[in-house]
Amino acid sequence: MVSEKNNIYILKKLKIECLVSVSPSKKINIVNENTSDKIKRLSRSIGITSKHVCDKGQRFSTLGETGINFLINKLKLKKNEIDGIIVVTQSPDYIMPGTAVLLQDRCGLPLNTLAYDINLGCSGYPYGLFVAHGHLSSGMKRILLVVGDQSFSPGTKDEGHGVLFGDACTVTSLILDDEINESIFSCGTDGSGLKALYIPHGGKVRPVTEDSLVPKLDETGVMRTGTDVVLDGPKIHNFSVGLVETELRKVCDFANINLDEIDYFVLHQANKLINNTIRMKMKKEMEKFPESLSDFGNTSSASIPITMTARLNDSWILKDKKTIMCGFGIGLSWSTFLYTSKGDEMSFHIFD
Amino acid sequence: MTFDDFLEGLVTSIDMPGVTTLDPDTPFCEIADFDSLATLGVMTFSEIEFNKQINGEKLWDDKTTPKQLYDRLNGK
Repeated sequence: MVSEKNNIYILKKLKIECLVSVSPSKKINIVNENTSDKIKRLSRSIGITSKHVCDKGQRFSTLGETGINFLINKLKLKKNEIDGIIVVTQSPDYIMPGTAVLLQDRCGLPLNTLAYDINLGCSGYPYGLFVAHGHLSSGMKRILLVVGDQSFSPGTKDEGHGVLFGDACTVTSLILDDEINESIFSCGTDGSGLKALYIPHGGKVRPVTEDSLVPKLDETGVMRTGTDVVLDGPKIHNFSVGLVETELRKVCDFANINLDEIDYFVLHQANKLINNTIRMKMKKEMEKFPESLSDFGNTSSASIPITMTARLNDSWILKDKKTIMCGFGIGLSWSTFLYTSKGDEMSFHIFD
Repeated sequence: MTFDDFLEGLVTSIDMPGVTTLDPDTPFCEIADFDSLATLGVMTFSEIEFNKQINGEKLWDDKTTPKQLYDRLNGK
């Protein structure tokens, strides 16, 4: 956060020390011999053939606990070497308090640990990196960024929701390192688009009542309850396709690099229609646009790090690889992050 | 792109069971079972083939036909 221009920020010395993705072991195959033609078509169009979802007793926070403990073991950390936990999620255990404070206790971190939540969805991972850098620049030594959602709602009557969303959590250890290249962050918000992707009931505007849980046919022909996610597909499509390429170019121009110099474009995994349209308009090869949709579904804010660990394996952490991440969706909100690897980062994908 | 190629591309993009051809003058919204997924197919096709963004809501509200869409995408 040293320099600013057109809402673009330079982040000095920020290093992704270790990235751990945690997917639930429970896997759902979208298409089987009993699947209706409607679901088969949906699966084909949005590009999701299977996904991982929380089993009974599992929650986003329990995946987080697993990820934090795994990371502590891998890095051989003492608990007092973690100064803070920042959780980015829209799937908290409780409306209050946030999930970060629960994780501080469950993982046995010291009482002087900073811990708080950020309420963001698809754009959340780059935001988390940016916010964590602020704390590190202020003197903290290590921040754990815990990002993801438990979006899948078993029993939902909304077939689109039932197919689209998967569950995941990722834990990223962030430190400052004098030898790492500058990172670039850019963001934006358009709150007028809130109804393009939201949950109508459960907040102060419409608290949950018995009626909130009754499935009803809405004006678009979708059967859903008041606590189900409402998603205006065409609106989100135009927003995403119209925005992402411009944002990617803006950040690359600022960094004075050509789009061809980017090794990996890791985009939020919205759906195949959106992600393929963006890639085809940019005329880039598939290898540079890794996807995790087909096996993990849309995992909200976790989809960027999940794609990095599940598809790029260790290739994104080879020395001097340039990865540009772009999250976009609920809010409407978007964020872009350009990271150049040092070569000694660590990357894992585990199943819980 | 010829109009025949346009219609063929649209049929592939909307991916509707049993729909193998489109009538040039039947509004999209009057095609049986034309849904939001089919709308997204039309939008994606327009973006990729014509580099033009169309409003999915207007496709319904204006009762746009394939012929009208073809002309609009070609700037007529």
